[in-house]
Amino acid sequence: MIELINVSFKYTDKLVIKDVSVKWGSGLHLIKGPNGSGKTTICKIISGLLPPDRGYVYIDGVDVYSGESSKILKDVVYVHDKPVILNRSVYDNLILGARLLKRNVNRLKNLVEFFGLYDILDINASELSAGYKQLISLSRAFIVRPRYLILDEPFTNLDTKFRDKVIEYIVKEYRENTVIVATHTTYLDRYADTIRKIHKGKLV
Amino acid sequence: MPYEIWDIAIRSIFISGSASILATTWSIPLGIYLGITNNNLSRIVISIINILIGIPTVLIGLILYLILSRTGPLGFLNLLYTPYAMIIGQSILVTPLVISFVYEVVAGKSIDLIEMLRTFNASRGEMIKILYEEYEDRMWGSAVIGFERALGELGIALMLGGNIRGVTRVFTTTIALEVQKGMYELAIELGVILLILDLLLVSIIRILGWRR
Repeated sequence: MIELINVSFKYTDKLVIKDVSVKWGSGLHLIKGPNGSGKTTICKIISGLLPPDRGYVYIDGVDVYSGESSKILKDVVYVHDKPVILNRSVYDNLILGARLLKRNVNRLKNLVEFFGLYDILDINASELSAGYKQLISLSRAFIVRPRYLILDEPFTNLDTKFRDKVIEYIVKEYRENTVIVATHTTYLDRYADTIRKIHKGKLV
Repeated sequence: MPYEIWDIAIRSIFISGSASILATTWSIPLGIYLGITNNNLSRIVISIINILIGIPTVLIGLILYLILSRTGPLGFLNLLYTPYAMIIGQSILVTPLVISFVYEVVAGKSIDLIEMLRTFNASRGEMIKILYEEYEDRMWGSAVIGFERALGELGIALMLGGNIRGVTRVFTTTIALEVQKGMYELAIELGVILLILDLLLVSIIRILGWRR
């Protein structure tokens, strides 16, 4: 369970997140809104990457910004809207998260087959197209299979084929976990358990 | 004189090269660490380090002279007027420059990468290692800039080396000496050789970096 209580965040004196209180249990949850509405900020606050100026963020009852959060944050993975790719092979990029979290990479084979990445495993990922980079960035998180997966505009660079595959994967594999997706698109609407709109820093 | 010029050139490269390599061993990890941390304290530290980039070389020379002289706290090491004292001094000179350069690379261009590593619970050590590997060329580029700074400085070389012929005489101290003697032509020649040598070495290092 993710719980935000009266969370506010200021960016250079401008209040971009205003007094947000919300609870998300397991399932697929969407945060929708136009560019610049505060979706990324909320995602980063939930993920423990951006401390709010006011309010509290709890995951499974643990304050994300307290000294006891390190254990729970191992189960929270945030994936950027702009894919973050290391200047290494696709394989190295894919297993990076699992290696850092000291998890096994059992899902790698299935995932590589599912997304059709087998032929490019040895290629330097930084030389690939934006779509492949996004797919690798997402797959890196899928391999870890975190209990809380936070995706920021996951479809921005994906073509229809990859987009449908990602949707299929999320819907099929993540039913028991909590997935929060910040998006301005409607692709996931019919699969979502909850949809919240963000408008001028407020969740409605 | 041609033989002595080669002797001076090799010594200059050895001393400034050693100082730069030594400085990078602590400056690169420290620069990455400050870039990763990127909080108010690290920003204050980097501001101080940026101020220290412009510290006069004679001031570093003077402080180390007082520490390394016979009556100083480290006088028993007998390092004064040796190439080692010059290496220590030049490594201190180069340190803020390398830290600042590395910090800019990490804090300025790697915010998303740092967040990605944090979301996968990477330790500080793992983050430093990955960021170093990712920006290895630029990190060593900072060492090259440090080397250039060390090669061209005079204050430390003169105060800690003493310009002893065949022992601590380097390009800059030789040029200063020749000017004092009124041998301007030789001083200019040495200056040109220093410039060519600097350009040549930096070009070789950069080409090796690109090839890698």
